[in-house]
Amino acid sequence: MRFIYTKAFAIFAACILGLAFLVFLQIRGWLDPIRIAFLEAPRPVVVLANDIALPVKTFFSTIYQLNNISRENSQLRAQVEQLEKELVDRNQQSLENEAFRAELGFVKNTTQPLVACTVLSENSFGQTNALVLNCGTHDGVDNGQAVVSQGYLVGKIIYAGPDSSTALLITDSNFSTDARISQTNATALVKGSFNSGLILDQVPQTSDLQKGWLVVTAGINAKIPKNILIGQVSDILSSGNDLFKRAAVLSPIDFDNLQFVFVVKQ
Amino acid sequence: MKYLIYLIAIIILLGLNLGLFGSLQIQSQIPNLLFLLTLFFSLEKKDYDFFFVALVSGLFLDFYSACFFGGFTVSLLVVSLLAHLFVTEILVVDINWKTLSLALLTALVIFNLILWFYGLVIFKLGLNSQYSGIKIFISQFPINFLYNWVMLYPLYLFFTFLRNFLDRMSVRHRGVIR
Repeated sequence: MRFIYTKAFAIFAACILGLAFLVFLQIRGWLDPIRIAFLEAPRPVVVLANDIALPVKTFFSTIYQLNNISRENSQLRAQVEQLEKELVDRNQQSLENEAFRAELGFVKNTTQPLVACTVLSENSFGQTNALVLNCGTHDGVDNGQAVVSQGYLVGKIIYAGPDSSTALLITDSNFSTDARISQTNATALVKGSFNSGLILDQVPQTSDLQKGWLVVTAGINAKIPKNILIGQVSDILSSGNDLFKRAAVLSPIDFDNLQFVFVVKQ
Repeated sequence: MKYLIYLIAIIILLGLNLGLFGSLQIQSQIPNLLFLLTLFFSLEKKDYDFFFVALVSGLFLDFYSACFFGGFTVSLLVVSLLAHLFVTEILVVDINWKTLSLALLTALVIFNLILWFYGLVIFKLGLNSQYSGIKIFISQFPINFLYNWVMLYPLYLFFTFLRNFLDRMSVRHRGVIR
């Protein structure tokens, strides 16, 4: 009982009573001015301390998370690699799809017996302009047969194995085939020109020849049917003094990106 | 003048508490610097300034916390009174770091118990729609105590500086040093 008469208890009791009064004011909603003063007073110190602490916190949290960041980084790298691989696959599928669409248009409009082949690789056996195809004698492919893409002649079979074959591209300098100018029916010879394109040669001087005329196969070679498109005359190369007329022929086929071709069975 | 300096010290500590330690939380816990300051003032036998420190610190904590108004102030006032009674009436040896750590542990337990009990009473009276269960206090207590214990010595240095500063001012005011 002695304690309640002490100064300490008196002050304590006064504090409690004062607090009770403040609580009463708070309940009635009359304490807002005091509240605002109390909330605003430390604000500059809080802002200053926060500005100092934030870089420290960032530094330590970065160190703390370094292991996680490293692990996350390797996971993301693996994910990126996976996505890149998927992207390559998708691009490949897209290209294949485009090639299929182009070939489909040709197949619908032709009556010739065709063997669909996938291009496995290019430049086989050291030859500069050849394709390795995944079809061979088991599929009816034979030496000398014409290889077409989108309706245009792209080459001929020079080797036919049981399950694969090699086709010499029309652009190769060793390639030559008989041809015909569709507008005049004049026969000629088409040959490759050292990778630079096609040359129409041995056109008689008496025969007319103009830019834009279509060149097709003549059908003299038994294994290459007639009327397969080769290209169109893009430039007249010869002069009036030459024995035969010569012209450059342009094929719309992209010979560097062939994926699917057809071998014409004859 | 003395109370103004106390007020400034409390504001600085509150600013550090919210600004600095708000960014340096450990398991969502921060030390209560105002509680530690009040404890140091209470453990001194010299005067009753600890009541002022406890009252103002408690009001600041109440305004800054989401709890019902008054809980922190009551808790700090009771804890500071008990701590003062402990050193003046019970303790017969000088305070060392062991007894100070024990005092901090006891004071923190009582502080949290009163805070919880006050919230419960307010809830039962229908003045507040919610209160924090004792389990929350218990689960957070170990880290809270350790963080406060780590900050005990820095706060002791701050408290000593404050006391020396006030003593020097007091001596100058009386005209002993010119």
